Amino acid sequence: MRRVGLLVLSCALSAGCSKLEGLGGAVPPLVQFQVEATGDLGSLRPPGVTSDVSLRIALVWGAQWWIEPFCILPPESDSAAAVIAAGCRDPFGFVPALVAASVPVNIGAPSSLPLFEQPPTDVLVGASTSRVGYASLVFFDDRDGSGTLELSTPHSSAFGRDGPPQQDSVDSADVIYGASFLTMTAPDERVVFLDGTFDETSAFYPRSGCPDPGSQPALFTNGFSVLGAGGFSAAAGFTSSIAGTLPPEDPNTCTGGVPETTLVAIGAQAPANVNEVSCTERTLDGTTRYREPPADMPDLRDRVSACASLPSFDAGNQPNLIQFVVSGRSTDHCKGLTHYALRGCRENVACPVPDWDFTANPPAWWPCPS
Amino acid sequence: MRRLAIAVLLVGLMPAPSRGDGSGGDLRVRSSGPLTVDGGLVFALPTALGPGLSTGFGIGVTRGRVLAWEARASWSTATESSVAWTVTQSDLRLRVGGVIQHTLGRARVGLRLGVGPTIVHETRLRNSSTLETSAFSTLPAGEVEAFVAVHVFGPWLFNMAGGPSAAVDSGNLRGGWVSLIGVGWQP
Repeated sequence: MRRVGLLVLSCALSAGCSKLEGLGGAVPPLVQFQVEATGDLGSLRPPGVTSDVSLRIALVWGAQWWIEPFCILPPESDSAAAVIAAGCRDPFGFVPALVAASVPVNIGAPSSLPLFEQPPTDVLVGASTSRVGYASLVFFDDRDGSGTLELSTPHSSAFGRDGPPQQDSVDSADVIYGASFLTMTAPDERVVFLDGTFDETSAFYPRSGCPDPGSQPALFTNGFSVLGAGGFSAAAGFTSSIAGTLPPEDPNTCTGGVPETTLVAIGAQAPANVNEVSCTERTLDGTTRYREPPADMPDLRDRVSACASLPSFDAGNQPNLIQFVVSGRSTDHCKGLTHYALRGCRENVACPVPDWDFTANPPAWWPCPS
Repeated sequence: MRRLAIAVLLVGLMPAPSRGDGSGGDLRVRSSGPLTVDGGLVFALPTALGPGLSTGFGIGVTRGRVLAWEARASWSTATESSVAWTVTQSDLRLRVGGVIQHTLGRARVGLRLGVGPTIVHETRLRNSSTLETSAFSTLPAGEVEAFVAVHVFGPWLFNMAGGPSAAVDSGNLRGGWVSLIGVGWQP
């Protein structure tokens, strides 16, 4: 009844009535980020690229990713170390999951990057009352003119007949020049979406030592904020992982701001140093996919390879096999490894009933002890 | 609002004190005056929202015999959502018009034409945000309704009405429908 009274009174008092929009009309963004690309691209462009097609900055939500054990355990040989260097990405690096938005930019001129949707739940980590998502603002040259950033995936070398056929994708033509959040071992400025309270134990791109974002509602606009951290050393990261704790950030390096007033400057770097920020991973849970060796020798040109034991974290639960590990090519957009084993299954090299077993009769090209 | 609507309905359904003269009991039709007051629940297409069902209540006064005049008011509200918006529109319909009616046994049937302003209050909430806007608009509107009013007992009637409606919104004609179910009182 009160609503009716207010309705009558309000309209009686309003000499002119406004336009009804209903479910239509322009949709305002949920939040607008202020971004700026800086630096000189002249000396950074990759070979063969003499000009820019369309410089843009994209907001890319991050994935929760665990690196495979081979890449973080101490290498057992120099050749294994070379394969790790050529085929393993930064274990503390930002791994993209989804490109949400992008805007054209001019170097040295701030631009607004509007975001019209919340991140989907598959890029959020945590319980339903304490979910968090992180995004990196990626500076790139949209060379294919698609208006957005295309992500790339690592390419594996040829393998045998095991498992379903794997769709290999073409590398993105887009050239990456920088990102606000490249790795946890360097200072970063990340876009944060917080739904509910903040749960540090989710350990999702942790920034332990910085203030709880959930206790700073003034930094958020509709759940979005821009937070910064100074990063931690790789050694501290590994030490903390072994101890089951989160690597601490220097509290003095922690920053935060409302998206509308926080300018995120992204400095240009050599694409070779920042390409990985646009590389997705086929598996996110840290498991290793082992491949059946093909009958014919795979093309190993421009690849680094090594024979190595199966990593077991000293658990002794791996079969006594020697794997053949091959890196991607140096021209690939993304780093990656292909693991061959003479016996096993695609997702479990120690499976009791192997999908393939060449231990008694290895392929002629097999370079490792059988 | 819902409580008020229920109260209106219950008033209509409440037994009237018996004034029987011993010949017809409570079910005897004793109302023959020119005045009828009715009210009840309103179900309508929202005037300016597009899809949805607008629900509320309405009340009207009719005076006359075969040809009568009437004044009527109703209020209803509807909420609909899209990916970006959750929109609530409340419609206040104020009508005057004419009625042509005929008595058929215990019932009266007829057509009524009403014209007048529909005052629409709109609240739009941008989903996933705190952004909310509201607007008022007054639209010229009207409707033609067929109705049936059945004498139940004493001066009380059971009313049903419904028909097409139209409103002019920003120069565009919006079609719709409106209905009412409720009770009437004819002394």
